[in-house]
Formats: sequence, C-alpha cells, structure tokens
Amino acid sequence: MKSTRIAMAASLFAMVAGGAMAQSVTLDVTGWKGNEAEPAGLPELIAAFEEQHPDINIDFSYISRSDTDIVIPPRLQGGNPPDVLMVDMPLSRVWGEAGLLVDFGTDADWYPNVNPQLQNAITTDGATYVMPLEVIGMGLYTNMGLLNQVGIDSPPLTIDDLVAACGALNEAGINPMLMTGGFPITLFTIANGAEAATTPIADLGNGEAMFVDDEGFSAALDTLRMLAEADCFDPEVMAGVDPWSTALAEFQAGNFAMLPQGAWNIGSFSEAENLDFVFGPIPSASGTGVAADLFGIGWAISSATEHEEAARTFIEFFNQPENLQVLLDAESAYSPFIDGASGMPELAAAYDQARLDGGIINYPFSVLQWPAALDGEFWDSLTGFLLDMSQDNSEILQRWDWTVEDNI
Amino acid sequence: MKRLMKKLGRYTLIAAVLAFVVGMLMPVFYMVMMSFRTGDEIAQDPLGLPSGLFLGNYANALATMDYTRSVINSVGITFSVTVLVALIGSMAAYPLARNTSRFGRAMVMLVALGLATPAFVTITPIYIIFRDLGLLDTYPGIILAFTALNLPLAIFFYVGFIGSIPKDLEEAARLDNCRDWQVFWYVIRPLLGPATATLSLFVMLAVWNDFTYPLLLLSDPDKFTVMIAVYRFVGNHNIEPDLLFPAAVLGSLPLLVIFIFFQRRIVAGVTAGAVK
Repeated sequence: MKSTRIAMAASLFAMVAGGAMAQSVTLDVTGWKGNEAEPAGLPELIAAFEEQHPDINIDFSYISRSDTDIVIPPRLQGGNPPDVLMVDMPLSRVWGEAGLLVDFGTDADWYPNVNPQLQNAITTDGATYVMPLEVIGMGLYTNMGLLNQVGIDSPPLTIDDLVAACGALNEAGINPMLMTGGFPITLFTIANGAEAATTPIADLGNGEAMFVDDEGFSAALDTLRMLAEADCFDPEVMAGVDPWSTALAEFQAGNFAMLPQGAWNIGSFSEAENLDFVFGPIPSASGTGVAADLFGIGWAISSATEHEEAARTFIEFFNQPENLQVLLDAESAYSPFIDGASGMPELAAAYDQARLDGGIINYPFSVLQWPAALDGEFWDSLTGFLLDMSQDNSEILQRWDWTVEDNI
Repeated sequence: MKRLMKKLGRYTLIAAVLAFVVGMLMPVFYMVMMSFRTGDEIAQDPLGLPSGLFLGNYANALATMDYTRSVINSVGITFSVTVLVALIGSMAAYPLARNTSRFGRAMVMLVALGLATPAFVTITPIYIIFRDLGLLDTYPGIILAFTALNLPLAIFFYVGFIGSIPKDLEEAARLDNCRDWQVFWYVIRPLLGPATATLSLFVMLAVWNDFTYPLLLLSDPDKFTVMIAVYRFVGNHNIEPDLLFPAAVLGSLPLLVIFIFFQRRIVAGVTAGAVK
C-alpha cells in the first residue's frame, strides 16, 4: 500500500514537473540596444519580464545595427531565426514583405494607439510587421556654459541666432560648432531643407519631385555656406572629424559649443561632469527651429518562430506604459503611442517646445519616404561639400535626384 | 663631405623609420593610455595623458566580459584553425605546386577564387550547410568554418613557396625509396617552417579578430570568443571609452603575448628567401 502511494506521488510529481517543463519556453531575442554602451533599459526590462513570466526565459543577444544586416538574414533564410528581433523601418519592410516576419495586422491591441503618422508609415496594404518602441528626437546640443560666457542665455532657434552666437563665441576664442561630415551636416541640411521645401518631401523620395527644382534644399546648402563664412565651423577640418567618436568626445570635453546630433547621446553627455548643456531643435529660418523626429526601433516576430504566443507576450510587455517608460527614459525618447509618455529630460525643453510649436518633421529615411541609399549619398556629397563649398548647388542636388532615380 | 652626406642620409632614414614606427604605435599607445583613465578624465580631455594608473576600468571590464572563458575559447579556436589550415593547406598545395599541367594551374586559380569571393556571398550558404550538418553552436563548427575560409589563402601561399623548393631534394628522397607521402612529410614539410610561421600570423590575426562568424554560428555565451566580449562595449551611436579601451587591451593582449613568443620565427618567415 505504502509503495503504491509512493509510486502515485512520484507519478504525480513527474506529471507536474513534466508539465511545467513542457510549458517553459526560451525566447531567442536579438537587438542592437541592450549592451554596455547603449543599454536602453533592456537588461532590467528583460529581468522584470522574466520575473513576471517565470515560464518564459529570454536569451538576449546584442548584434549591432550594421551587423544585423549581415548576421540575421542567413538565420532568417536558414529557417533558424531569432524568435523576436529588434528592427527599424527599412528592416521591417524588407523582411516583412519577404514573408519572414509575423504580420500583426491592424487588429493588434496596441495598433490603434500608435501615433497616426507612424501608423501610416508602419502599415503597408493592411500588413504591420513591427511594434514601434520609441521616437527619438534629433536636434542641436548646446553647451550653455560656453554660451553664458559670451552673454547668451538660450540656445539658438533661428539661423540669425546661430550666426550671432558664432560671432560672439569666436570673439571669445571658443570653437562654435561641430558641423562634421556624415550625420551632423546631413541632419542640419535635411532639417532646414525639409522646413523650407517647396514640394512635399515624400515626393522627393519617390521621383515625383526633384531636389534640383526645390528651392528649400538649395537654400539649405546656401545656409551651410553662409555659416562657414560666418566662421561657425571650419569646413575642411569638419570634413575629417568622425561624427560618432571624436565629435562626441570634443563636445563632451567642452571644446565646442554646439553639435547637431540625436537625443540618444543625452544619457552619456549627462554623465560628464561640468558639462552644462541643453538639447534643442535645429536652428532654421522659422522662429521655432526644427525638431527632427526619428522612428528608432521596434520589435518584430519571426514568422518561423515556434513560440509565437510567448513572443507576443514579450512584445505586449513593452506596450505597458510603466515598462515602456524605462526604455524611453534610458533612451531620452518619446513614446510612439498616442498620449504616450516622454522620456525626454528637462534639459530638452527647447526641443519639446519646438514640437509643440509645430516645428516638427519626421526624418524621411526613418519613415521610408526616402530610399536608404540616399542617406549614404547625403553623407558623401555633403562631406564633399565641406571640402569644396564652391560647388554649384545644382550639382549636389542632382546627385540626390540620380540616387533616388536609381533606387525607386 | 661625402662622408657627412652619407651620415646625414643615414640619420634621415633612421628618423623617417622612427617617425613611421611612432605613427604606427600611436593608436596602440592611445588605447593603452585611455584604458587607465576614468570616464570623467576622458570626457574632459579626450587626448590627454592619465593622471594616474586607474585600474578600476580593468576590474569593471573583467567583471563584465567573462574574460577567462572567452580567452580560452579564442585561444582554442585560433590554435585549432591555425594548425588545421597549415596542415591541410600544405598537403593540398604540394601536388598543386608540382603539377604544372594546365589542369594543375586551373586548380590553383580555382583555389585563388576563394580569396576573391566576398564574405557576404558565402555567409548564408555556410550557415545553411552548418545547420544541416548540425554544426551550429559547436566548437567543431566554428573551427571548420574558419578553416575552410582560410584554406584558399594557405594553399595559394604554400603553392608559391613549395614551387621555390628545388625538386632535386625530392628526387634524392625518392632514390632512397620514399613514397610521395614520405617525401612530403620528411622532406617538404620541414622546409615549410618559415612559410608556416608567416601564414600562421595572418590566420591567427584573421580568426582572433573576426566576430562575424562567431556571432553567426555560436549562440551559447559560454562559447563566445573574446572579440564578441569586446564587441559588447561598442554602441551604434557612441562608445563607453572607460570600458571599451581596457576591454580592447585585454582582447588583444593574449595575441600580443603569442606574437612576442613566436617573434623570431615570424620574422624569419617574412624574410625567408629575401637574402640568398
């Protein structure tokens, strides 16, 4: 009798244990945030998720954005993809249309809450392959400590403000601006060009309008030339400064007063002692400045996953405001959802204000209005422009048109 | 006057070589210096010298990157690949070097094509083949992949080197009743020492520094190489210098020790044949 009872208890234990083991799922998750350099709150969010869902383990791998292009496609094509992938708009479009990602459709719980402009961008023929996580601002970092030294107490919002600040800083022997080749000059040009564009900017990326005919972008190049003449920056030096390391280090060290960059650097700049800075919009011809919003990252689910339900649970976790807030705070980003919170700190009040004042553009590459190849062309041609500012505007604008033509 | 000019020329040459060496070592010097500075120090003066030897960066990097495990993995994988590449490459190269027919030359060219094939073309087929062979996330898998990727270089390299070895040596061995295998093993292989040292340098550097294939083929963190551990400190938009620089020093240190150890052989290999 006793042995029967022991056998029954053992069977029951085995069933319960077996059941529990069968339900336990390990999700393979990849992303280009979450490492030591850009944690984005992911380590703590993943830990919190696993605590809330003890039956789901997360095996997270950091793969940089550029390596994602190399490492993930073989896994997708080889039928052994990660269950959940961090994607941006170009990746979600390419992989989604190839049938490699789960289509969330338009009836996912979170979908109606997505900001309408972003909703439009992430939806193609009723298919949605990404749940957006953040919208990040791109604008102008200003070292207020240096500006205060020359009697200026607010960041420049207009080109006139900027020129005046450059003059005052130069007189005091302070380097005004890091307008480096690559990303910063591209950001500045697109912000100013888009604000003054005489045609819808989406049309410039689909061939329905031409950059060479658009007075706004030509004026943006003239503005750069004028800023160089006003000694806001030394164009030849700026052509050789790396925007992702040297420029950041120089601004952080207080060697330059202004730097066009993304809000993702707010966290690391805030760690620097004695750096009194603010983050504002890109100065422009209008009074508000331009707040250039970028759709940053989102989660997608591989269509080959064997754990779709668990993957959806993981994604839904990030849709809960208190969880998303952790990521937004770490990234200094805005929620992509209607009435969503902001992770922007107080020092970015000028950027917030520009958004409220209507000085906002969606960065055209991040919402697929312009082909990705044009981004590289902007970086190259504008770096070339720094080396030779006597180039005719139409030469540069035409190169952009040719790139669009080759990629539509 | 002539003597003075000669002396001047010599000193100019020495100065130019020194300037070149300093230029080459500057990034390494910068990396090491940065690794001993605090984050605040670097932020305040990016190019400055350390005020003291701050070892906290190393402690943080070591704590984060599972250093010992990843170094053991890297050493094991690099050593295995180097041995396999040298062994298989030399064996494959020997008949190709001695077969001067059109077929032999075509085979050498075919192997050389492997050198010209861009990595991104082979990455997906390699992944799919290794998946089908059940070699994903295994040490044999990553070793096999690196061996295959480096064999074209090795074969091409050895074909040229073996071609310069006089055939008389082989004929003498054959007169002593050596078979082909024995000729290779007892006559040719010992002569490949300097070439093998040079080839090993290239292969070791390529395998040690690569993180694409480990990232693609390995998923268990316990099997990750040291470069993947260093890679964690590089962001998309910024870097953490107080973590990245010590990690980079730690990542390259084992290889540096190996090179110092084999320095004489490597130099001999590089200069082999340069002086008759």
